[in-house]
Amino acid sequence: MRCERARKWISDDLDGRLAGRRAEALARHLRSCAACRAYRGDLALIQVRSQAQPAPSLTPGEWTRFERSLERELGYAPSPGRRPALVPAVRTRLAWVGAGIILVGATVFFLVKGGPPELDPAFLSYEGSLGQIDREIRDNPDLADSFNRLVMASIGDTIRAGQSDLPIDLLANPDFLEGWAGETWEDIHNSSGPNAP
Amino acid sequence: MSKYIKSGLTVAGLIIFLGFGSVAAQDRPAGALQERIRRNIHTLRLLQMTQALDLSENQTAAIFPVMNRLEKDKADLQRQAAEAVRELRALIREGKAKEEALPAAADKVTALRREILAKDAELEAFLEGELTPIQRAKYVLFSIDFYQGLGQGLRRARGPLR
Repeated sequence: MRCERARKWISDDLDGRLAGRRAEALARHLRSCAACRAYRGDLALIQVRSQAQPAPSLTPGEWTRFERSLERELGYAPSPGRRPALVPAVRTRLAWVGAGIILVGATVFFLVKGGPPELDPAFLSYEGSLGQIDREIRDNPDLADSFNRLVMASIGDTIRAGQSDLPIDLLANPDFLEGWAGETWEDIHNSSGPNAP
Repeated sequence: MSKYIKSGLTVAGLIIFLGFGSVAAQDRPAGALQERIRRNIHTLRLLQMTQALDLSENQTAAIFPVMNRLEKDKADLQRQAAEAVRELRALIREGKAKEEALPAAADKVTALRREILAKDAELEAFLEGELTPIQRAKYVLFSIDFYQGLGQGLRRARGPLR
């Protein structure tokens, strides 16, 4: 499944509108795609946080007052049964008011959503990413531990998701194991891995 | 024992090993945990890169040792750079008394930084020769996703938005 389609379905899934084969296909894709898993996590977080916001509510009376004050501002009052044509000056003012409402709406949307996604320049290269992580965790052991747990969980997820997809058995690959410092990992591998006696 | 059971046991062993490592890491100096995290990120990168690029067994046999060597070299250079930066800061704090030692100390930091960047460039050049055109294109996208994924992971580790 392509990530583009998966991301459409993730939105439906979070809204409780995805079931059956699509839900299964999405679950399969999520198991193998870290980027979409991260996207789903972010979307779920946005959903939770936006639901925690109080919904904007205006009573019918308040809407009526708002409409009347808008009409006063625009300088026209519709007569019953006949809708007056808008003169160009009024149309221009109405357009400005509309643009203002859209601007305010967009601002509120981004405030609730937490802002547009940012592309942090520190995370555009491998060493840049590691440097940024290093700076943040250096004096914060709790953050370091939490981050390490997330990395380890991703390793576990990737191995589990890749068991049927990987073209090679990574866990039996000495070149891969060599990346692990220490004999403990080899012991575990030898005692329970594919090369176990 | 079936392949899946063996793989499952291996994964369980790996997770237990990593888990113990994490608990033990809390008692280690901060530098040791940082190095462990760096190693874990390297491992995650190898795993996800293998999947994303559909690397063959021959390719992993050629690529993994080089990536492992370069990663070790860079980790060593990073340690030296951290020490060099500490020395430079100390010299700055001491002011006039150590002023004559400043240029050499600054040059050392700059040289180490260049060496680290050269290792990254070496890896990129090496991969260009090992990957197919499609894999090279996938590698570019994989790298961006992976780096951004690290950023997202760090944000998640920080906890809910404040």
